[in-house]
Amino acid sequence: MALKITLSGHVQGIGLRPAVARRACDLRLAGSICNTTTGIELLIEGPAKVVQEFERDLETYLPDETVIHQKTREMTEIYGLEQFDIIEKQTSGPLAARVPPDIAVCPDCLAELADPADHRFGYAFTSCTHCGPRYSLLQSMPYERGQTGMSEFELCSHCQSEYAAPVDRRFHAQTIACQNCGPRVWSTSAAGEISGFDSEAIQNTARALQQGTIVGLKGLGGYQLLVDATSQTAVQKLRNRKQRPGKPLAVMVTDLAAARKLAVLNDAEAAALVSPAAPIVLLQVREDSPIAGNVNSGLNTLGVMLPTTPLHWLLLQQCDFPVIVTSANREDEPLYYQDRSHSEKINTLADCWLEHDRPIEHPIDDSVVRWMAGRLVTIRLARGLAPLSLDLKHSRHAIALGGHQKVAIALHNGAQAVLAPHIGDLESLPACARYEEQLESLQQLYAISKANFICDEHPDYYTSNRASLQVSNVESVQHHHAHIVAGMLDQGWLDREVLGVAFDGTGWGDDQTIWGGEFLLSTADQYTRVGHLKPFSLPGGEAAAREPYRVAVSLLVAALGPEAALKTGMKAELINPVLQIIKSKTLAPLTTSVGRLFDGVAALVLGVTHSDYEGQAAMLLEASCDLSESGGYEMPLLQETPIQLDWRPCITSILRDRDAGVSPGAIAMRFHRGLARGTAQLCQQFSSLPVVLGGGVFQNRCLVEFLAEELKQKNQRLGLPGRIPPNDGGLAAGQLAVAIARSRQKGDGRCV
Amino acid sequence: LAHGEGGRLSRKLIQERIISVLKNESLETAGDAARLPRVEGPLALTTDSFVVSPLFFPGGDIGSLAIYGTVNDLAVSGARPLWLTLSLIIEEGFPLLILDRVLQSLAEAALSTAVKIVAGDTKVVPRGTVDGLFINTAGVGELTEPVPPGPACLREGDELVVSGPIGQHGIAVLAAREQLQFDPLPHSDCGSLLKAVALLRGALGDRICCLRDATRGGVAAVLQEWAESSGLTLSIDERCVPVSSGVKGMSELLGLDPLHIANEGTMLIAVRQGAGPAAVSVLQTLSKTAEARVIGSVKARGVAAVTVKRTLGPEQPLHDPLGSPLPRIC
Ligand SMILES: [Fe+3]
Ligand SMILES: [Mg+2]
Ligand SMILES: [Zn+2]
Ligand SMILES: [Zn+2]
Repeated sequence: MALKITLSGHVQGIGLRPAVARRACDLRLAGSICNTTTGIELLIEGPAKVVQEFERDLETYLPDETVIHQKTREMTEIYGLEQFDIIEKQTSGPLAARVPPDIAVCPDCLAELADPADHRFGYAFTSCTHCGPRYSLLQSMPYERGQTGMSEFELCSHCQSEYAAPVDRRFHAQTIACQNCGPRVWSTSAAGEISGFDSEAIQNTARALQQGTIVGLKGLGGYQLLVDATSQTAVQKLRNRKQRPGKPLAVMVTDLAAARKLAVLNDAEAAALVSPAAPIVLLQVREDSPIAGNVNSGLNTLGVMLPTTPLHWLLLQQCDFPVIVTSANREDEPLYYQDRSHSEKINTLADCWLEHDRPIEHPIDDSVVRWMAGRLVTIRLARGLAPLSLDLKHSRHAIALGGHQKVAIALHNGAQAVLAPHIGDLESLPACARYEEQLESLQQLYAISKANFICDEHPDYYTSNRASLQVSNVESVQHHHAHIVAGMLDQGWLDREVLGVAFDGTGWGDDQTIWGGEFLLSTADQYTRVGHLKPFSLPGGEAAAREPYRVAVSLLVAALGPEAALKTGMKAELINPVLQIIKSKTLAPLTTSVGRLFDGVAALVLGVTHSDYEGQAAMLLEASCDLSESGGYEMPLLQETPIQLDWRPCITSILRDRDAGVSPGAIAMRFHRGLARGTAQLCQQFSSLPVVLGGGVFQNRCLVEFLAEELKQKNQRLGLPGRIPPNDGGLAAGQLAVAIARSRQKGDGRCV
Repeated sequence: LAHGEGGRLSRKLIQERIISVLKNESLETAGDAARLPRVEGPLALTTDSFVVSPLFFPGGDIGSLAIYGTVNDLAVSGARPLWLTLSLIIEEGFPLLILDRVLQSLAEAALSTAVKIVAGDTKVVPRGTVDGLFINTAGVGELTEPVPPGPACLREGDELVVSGPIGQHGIAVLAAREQLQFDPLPHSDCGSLLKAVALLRGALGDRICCLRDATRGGVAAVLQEWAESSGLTLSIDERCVPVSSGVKGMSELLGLDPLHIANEGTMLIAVRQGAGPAAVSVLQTLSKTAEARVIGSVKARGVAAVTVKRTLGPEQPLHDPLGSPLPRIC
């Protein structure tokens, strides 16, 4: 009997073919298995009974990571094959197989690294079928060694025999290598002089870290900068070099035990740290942690990750302190991954370098996740998590271009949809160039041509400008609707109506004002704005986002009049000019932004007049919350159409409490709870609908947990953000889903 | 001022108020069209309407603006201005004293640039149909060789020069309109570029590729247009762009970029590679353009049509807003 079976879904780069081959060999069946652009094609032949047994148990011996979207089977003629082979086969057609994300070094490989008797003892590029680079190293699909950056390294006889032996963990491991045949690592001075190879290079680098110098390292998806995280001086030096004055930095430690010395972690957070994606997990920092204060100034959270590659692990073994790991680029510029010899700018960032010769085919940053309200939320979708498969069916090619900040691209090639890795803010020329590069490489990887383009409605985003230059079809999606539909997609709720709550910094609204505190009655293809934050003016427009004191003045003037603004303790030189422009509609445009409301409150409560980085004021306000405080400010609803959430009584109370000497921590807490209650009350006016959250404000754990609690008490269903980032990093997924839903409405999509 | 129907009232207005101030024989003959002498060689013709609120602002008013605007348009096109037409559209009830002040200023500007106003028209329209006073001028000039070839002829390596501090006019008007009190209060740069252009063309000749007065949309709009016509990238360095401290402070407060703010007597000049410093030193001999600088150069087309290296921070695509700049920070 002979069978042909095809599988599509997450079936490549996870050791599926070796697992199947091993089983076939055990049962003495003949046939072949290969990766195709649609997934896996399997031919199996032998005695009918055995083939049936093979087919019946098939799913039980596939790797745990396997996700099968579609399976077909048919009887075929018997070829009379003699053995079972893993073969390479090229096919054309749209890529349906999932592009595998990178996988952090696995425990088995770590054990080998640490074992002096092992063939790969101390070898920095050890990997197996369960771990190693995937997306970052592949040139094209299907995922085969010949189409990865490893193709230039010819296997030695040792590796070759492991690769060919069905019983081995490295049977058909595409990135297999050892010190005899694989990439090597070496250390250099800033000027590029080589100071050592292999283990000596790693020792040199560890010593440099101990001495407080800035080390540059070629990581998995790009160059990184490392310093001793316990040294205030070293961290400051790094901040100056990178021109990153205040934004928090992440640390890497060797294992969970070391992580527990820095932060308090629950089981889910521990599981996230050791997961194959090994993201940066935002944890609650311990008060006795040895981390230098300028790593996360003013915050009570710390980004922690475990070694992502054997190279990181080997280096950290030799350091008895946590290490800052951040991308090697100036702030505002994208992750650097090309040959360093072409860039003086990058070379001056570090005092010495740990280099290697395994190429990086696709640059990718570290992912960031945060546990909130019982769910792990992706804050930045990158290494290990991207490309993320999206459950969207469509028969045509479409590319969603994202927004302007934290940009990521989403696409559909007719066979599958994905949200691609985080690129960054499109504020600098190099960032825009990187965006263009990734757009091009994604189109190649997923074989996309003549796509429809989807962009935001803001006329001045880099991405919407770019879309307007396109000759093909372009359609635009309202910013907050895209946020909500991204959340609906994450929940699997594209088929129903929801009440979307979109809280963020700014987005272009239908009424030509700046939105950011929106309640949208949404389906996948349309929405009605049923509520919003009471509008306030934003003196100086975008400048108000960088200077929260302007928002504070605006809130005070609206709630208590201009005299109140002068009594807040902020300098009159700051306040007076703002008072001059605040009444002008053009100089102080109206907004409903909750992100800006947070800024203004942070300025009032904590005296944050200027922000060093986006979201700083809101993050400081969240961090200052006194969890023992139980009160909450009043935020009544104004029953107009749309309903307005009125923050003015809250501002009045904040001022009263401040004058009464209530602590900033208590005031911050009352604000969070008040906002959550007001929001929940507005949601209750649509109590039959499930609520979906979207927008960067919902990275705030305190707010999300209060809101979840309020809605739970009132029995209203809530869909929390999860795999798709709630911030603008998830915007493209929502844009894509809206465009596909609209085309289905129109019935011109020939959708499946 | 009453609404005229071409009767005695408006004849009186034109006679007493306008012709007497602008004194010249073509207007006084008052035919239906001006008769002009023969001119050898090609001509340049331009027209512009002036609507500004308020009518008077520090450094200028709608009258001088209406002359300098059209004169400058002719000058940067490579022409010597000869004749102007003048149309006034006046709101019923507009105070005559203010009209006199505008006409006086207009006459002085015309005198200082040696252009003749040879034909004109005046309409008084019902209240509310215009905001006080609108002025249109059209100008004819004689093109003089070598005529700058224009932005389509830009080449990689060409250099970009700005003739003076930017953003003065837009900020002065905005401050006057919104009644903002600031110290120092920026003055408009409203003025003639005739002399500067003449000197520059005399010294550089065919090394000048194109010139443009950076009016609405500011320096950024000119750069964007030149980048579009040339298909190249125009790249500037913010650190080299002259900005007065008043404009700097005000634009920071207002969240505006001086590169996007209008000028009315400041131009952008593209010259061939290496000619930038010569252009700057010629311009610096005049007080109006004493702060001229080389601000950038022309490059092969990259990711963005226009780029700016910021004083603090990275090199950026120069934002090309659809209308007035809108916040993008999310
Ligand atoms: Fe947003
Ligand atoms: Mg003009
Ligand atoms: Zn492994
Ligand atoms: Zn080997």
